[in-house]
Order: sequence, then C-alpha cells, then structure tokens
Amino acid sequence: MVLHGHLPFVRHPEHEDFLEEDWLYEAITETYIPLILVFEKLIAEGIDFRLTMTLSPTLILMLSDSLLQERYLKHINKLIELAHREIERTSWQPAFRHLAVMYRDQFCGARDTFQRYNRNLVGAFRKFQDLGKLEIVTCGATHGYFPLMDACRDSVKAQVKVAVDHYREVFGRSPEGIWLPECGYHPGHDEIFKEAGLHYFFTDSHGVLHGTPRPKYGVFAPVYCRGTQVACFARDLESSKQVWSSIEGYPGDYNYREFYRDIGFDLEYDYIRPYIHPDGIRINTGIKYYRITGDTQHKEPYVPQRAQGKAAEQAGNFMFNRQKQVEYLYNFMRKKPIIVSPYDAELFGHWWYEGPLWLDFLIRKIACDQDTIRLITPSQYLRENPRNQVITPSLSSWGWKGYSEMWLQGSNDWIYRHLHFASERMTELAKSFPQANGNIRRALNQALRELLLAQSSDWGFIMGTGTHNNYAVRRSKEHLLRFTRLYEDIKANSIDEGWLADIEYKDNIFPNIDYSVHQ
Amino acid sequence: MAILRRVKGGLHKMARKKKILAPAKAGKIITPGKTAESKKEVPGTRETMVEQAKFSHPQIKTCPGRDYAQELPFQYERDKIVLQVRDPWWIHAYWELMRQTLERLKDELKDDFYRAKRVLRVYDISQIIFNGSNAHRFFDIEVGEQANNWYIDTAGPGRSWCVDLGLLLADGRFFTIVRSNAVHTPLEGPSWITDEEWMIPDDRFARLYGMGFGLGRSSPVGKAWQEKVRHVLSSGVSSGASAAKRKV
Repeated sequence: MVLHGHLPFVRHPEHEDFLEEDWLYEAITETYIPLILVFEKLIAEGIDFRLTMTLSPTLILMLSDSLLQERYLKHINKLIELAHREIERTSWQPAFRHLAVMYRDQFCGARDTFQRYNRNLVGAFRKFQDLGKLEIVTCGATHGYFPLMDACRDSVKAQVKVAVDHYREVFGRSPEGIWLPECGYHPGHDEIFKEAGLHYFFTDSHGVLHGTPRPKYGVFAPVYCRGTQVACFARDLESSKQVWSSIEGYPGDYNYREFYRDIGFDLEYDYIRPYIHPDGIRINTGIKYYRITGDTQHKEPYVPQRAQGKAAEQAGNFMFNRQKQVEYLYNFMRKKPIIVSPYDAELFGHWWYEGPLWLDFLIRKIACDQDTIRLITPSQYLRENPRNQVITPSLSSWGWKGYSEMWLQGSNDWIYRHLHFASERMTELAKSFPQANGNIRRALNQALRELLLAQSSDWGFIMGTGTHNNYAVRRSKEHLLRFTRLYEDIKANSIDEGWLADIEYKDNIFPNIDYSVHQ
Repeated sequence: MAILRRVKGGLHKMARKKKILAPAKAGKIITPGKTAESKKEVPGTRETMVEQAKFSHPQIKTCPGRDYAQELPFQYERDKIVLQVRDPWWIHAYWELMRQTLERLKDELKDDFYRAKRVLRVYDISQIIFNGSNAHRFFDIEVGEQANNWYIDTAGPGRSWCVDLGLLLADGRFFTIVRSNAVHTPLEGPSWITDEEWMIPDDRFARLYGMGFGLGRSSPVGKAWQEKVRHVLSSGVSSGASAAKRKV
C-alpha cells in the first residue's frame, strides 16, 4: 500500500489570515494526525506492518515551518472553541450532541499530538521509518508534472535532485524510490532517477501494461527500465477500484460521513461567522453531522458505531479479495505477485472520514488473521525478487483519462511557453555562473526557487478543475515574473537586495538549494 | 489486426477467469443497477475528484491586495515551435515568430507571402532520422495568423511526430519557417512485441555471485570484492577477460 501525501507550497507571511493555507491545516487535523495515531497504536501493540508513503518536499517544508505551525495552533484552538459551542448548542439534540463531543475530543487529541512532536509532524513519520515500519519515498521538489517538462529536461533533473538532497537533510538517509507527481512518467526520465541514486518509481497500470515489450506478469511484478535498471511498479486497478470507485468504492457506503454537509455551510451565518473566513465566506470547518444515507439530498445523522462496523467489514472484504487475487495470480505466474495499491493520503480522513480506521482494521487483519498475504515495501520486494523483466514503460499518468490532458487543456495550456522559456533561461544562468558567490549566488538560488514554485502541477490542476482559478493563475504568474526579474537583474549584475530579501522570506523553500543542479 | 484481436480475446478470458475465483458472496460492495455505469467510468475521474477536495474552499472573488499588476509577456521574441504529447492521439504545439522574421519573409516572397496560407505540416517520422523530406507521410493544418497554439489529432498512437510551421504558397510549394522538436505518442493498448528480456541488477547479482564464493557483504573482503565485480559487470570488461582466457 502506498500513501501519497502532498500539498502545494502555500505560505503567505504577508497576510495574517490566508484562505488557502487552510488546505494544510485541514489535512493535518483530518489526515496526517489520524494516520500518525493509527501507526502509533499499532507499534505500541506490537502489530507489524509495512507501508510506503510519500511526503512531498513542499508538504515537509510546510509541516516544518514555524510560522505555519504557529498558525495551525491558532486554527486548532479555534476549532476546539467551536466544538465547545457546538456541544452547548446541541444540548437538546442527542443525535448531534455526542458527535460534537466526538469532534471536541478529536480536535483536542490533534492539538496534543501536534505538541507531542514539537509541532513538527515530520518527526513522527521519520520515527516510523527509523523503526522499519514505513518506507518514505520522495517526490518532485514542487510536484512538477514531468511529462510536460520533457521539453526542458534540465528542469526534471532539478526537480529530482533538489528533492533528493532535501530528503537526505530531513531523513538522514538517501531515498530508495520516488513517487512521480501524478504518476507522470515520460520514457527516458528513468535516466534522471538513476543519476539521482533512486532505485524505483511508480506508474499507473497502463504505464507498464502498454510498455514495450509486453510485460509477462502485467502489473503484478515490477519491471526494470531498459538501459537504466531502475525498477517500475505499476498500480493494480482491481484493488484501487475498491477504494477509489465512486460507484463501487468503500468510501461511498451510506453509513459513512457525508463530506458535503459541513456546519460551515449549514448553520446560521451569525453563529458561524467567527469560525469561517474573515471576509465572511463560508468554508469547511471539519464538523459534519450527517451520513451519506443514500443517493438522495436528505441526509440522516451520522452514527459512528455503524460506520466503524462497516469499516471493519470492508477491511475484511478488501483483505479477502486480495487473498483470492494473490492465490489466483500465483497459480498463473508461479512467482510471488505484488499488488500495488496507491492512494492519495488525503483520501484517508479528509475525504473518507473512516479511512484511517479502515486502514487500521486492514493492517491488523493482515497481521493477525491470516498468512496468505503480507504487507511489503518495494525495496523489500526487490530484495526478495531481484530477477524481473526488462521493458520500456509507456508515457502515462494517473490523472484524468490516464495521460496529460488534465494539465494540457484550454484553461492551462498557455502556461507552458512561459515555463519552458524560463527553464531554458535557468540553464543559461547555471552555465554562465559556475562558481557564483555573495548576492549573485543568492539571486541564482532564488531564481531556481521561483522557477520550481511556478512548475507545481497543482496550479495547472486547479486551473483545469475551474475552482480557485484566480489563486492558481496568480501563483503561476507571480513566480514567473519574479524569476524573470531575477534573471534580468543577474544578467545586468544589479541585484536589488531589499527586494531579493523580501522574496527570499516569502518563497523560502529549500534553504540549502544549489542552483547549479539545473543543467 | 488479427493478432491483436486474439490478444484482446485472451485478456478478456483472463478477466473472466478471475471473476469466478472471487465469488460475490465475499461481500463485495456492488450497488445494484450501477454496474453497467461503472464500466464507463473514465480513468482518473475519482482520483481527480478527491484531489480537488484537497483544495476544498470556494473561490474568493478578490485576491488580497497585491502590488502585482504586471502580466506575463505575450511572447519572447524568438522563432520557436514546441511540441508536447497530450495522449496517444493528440499532440499540442505552441509557437511564436519574431516580427523581423515575418518582415524578412514578406520581403523575400513579396506577393506570394500575402497569397500564402500559414500552415502546420505534421510529419510522421517514426523510426527514421528526419532530414526534412523523408517522413513516412505528412498532413497540413491551416492556422490563422493570430493563432499561437494548436491541438493536433494525429490518429496515430505509438508513432513519432515533428511539426513545421510554414507557408503553403499558392503554387503548392511549402516554405518552412521553423521546425519543432520530435515527440513520440504512447501506445493506446498492449505492445505487439512479446520478446522477453530478463535481468538482475548489477549490484544484486554481485551480491549473489559473492555469496556463492562465501564473499558476502558481511565478510571484510566481501564488500570490496563485490564493488569490483559490480564495476566489471557494468563496464563490460568481462568479455575482454574471457577472450584473454581463450588465448591461453
């Protein structure tokens, strides 16, 4: 199982309250902390497990940033206050009151956990990796979408090298593998992974299934890329569909919590005003009282015990299906198959409230109730099964329609001429200044930071979905314009130190970045 | 085509076989009446929806005050056309031309320039080194003067493509203004090639080889010895060594 944790770098020190920073706070409360609590309990009870997890560099940077940590505390304190008010407000509504208590306890627990790890949750995941339970893989530095950066491969190199260097600083070891942003693979990029010392990456199923030559074992064994020996693991769609599918998937069960019924939207404006955006815009608070109930607008109150029972049942079902799948495959393959089930980490807890609970049940059942299958990491599988087929995987992604359309359509195709040209200029700068020092070096490093931030696939994605368009467009333009100004200032040898210091403070990713990797 | 049909049939059979072994009584969640719909589910839709939920707040109408009023430049004063792949069938081209280039063309071609059509010429250059005139085939797309990008339906998955932005003169001559990079569209199904190649990575093999001689990594000499073997394997010196052996 692979959990991919990523959020784009959103940090606005120039504003006291910034709506989009909420993305991080929500994910911390609803996904990362619940997962940490699940892992802690499993370890405390001596239950063995192996999971693969991505923590993208931008996510790590934000979790480690003191300003954002401070703001998170403010955020969670506000939520706890809201939960207290809710307990009072629902005193005469037993169906809701116990839920308000549940949220209050959850938020208090989140604050405690946050403090326990000295406000830096990365420490928790590092601990789990050091204990041998998690294999943390890296990702693109700012989650750039590599297939559409092939026209400027130096940028792909920079995305990978910066990420790997940063990983070493944070985890004290080199990463074994990489989760490609959006599973976006372009043939030839494995050379870059190899150069960076990475041993494997992941693709969507058709990345391997449509590879050349045809893979003998489909997606149920990794393949080596021709020429580089970098291994490629492909997603298994059957296990994926059980969780992802909007029609058959587990999260759609009628007993589970309804995502779209949040008190931020449901309750009276004056009451909820202090807890939504200061400009008065209604937002998700995380307190939701209803369950999915059915394919209907009418929603019934959420009943946690029923949801828990369902989660346990579905975990059993998932395990049973994997056992059957593996047994069948082994008879067919005569080789131990691997089933790769990757999910966005934010699916667990944030979108699918019961997700972490389901995962907990699943891990326990696999560890204690059977011995047909076991959880394994890619590195371990390669150690135990080193002989694999050689193919060239296909260009692919796990995005909408399986290729690059999500990031290359009317709403976002305009960005590439600017990104590609900026990338060419960055290479030109790196080559022109092989041994820069002082302010020029600072400017060169910042130029690479701005370019990387502009390349985040999240902006293109958001433009493609049509919501938050303004913000995504603004971020792309802002970073490109900052880059251009830096480029011109460096060429003219006239750095505006005040302005440089200002954007260094605002766009403060990768403190130890080295601009020379971009060539 | 016949081979592909057989392969497709084979894959379908495999899928059917799997279903028998995963019985419905396992409690698989299937909402009645919706199974047909699930077959139409476009890949990546659900993932997109969940990813979108990460950014789960409504858009605010005004961005907080910025001193930012600049726009990105319309173009960068160069003659360039860039191709990118969108999926097995579609590629995307964006381009720009310098004013001077257009002026120069007007001077050179005079009246012909005004009668010419601006055209994208799309070449199929699969498995060749393209020299401008040896493409397997090509087709033209007329684009307006104001256009600066285009989605091209190649209808040819698994092929390599290159695009010229040029002028198609009234007498049929084609004048290339600028040529794009080459791209390769992925296959839209499994490959026809079935030859298998297998390997163990050098470092893994080095370890196995060493263990065969009792020179595992734990032995003091073992680690250094394995480094040596790994170097030999990856630099292909071994074939030279065996030739030397034969001489003796």
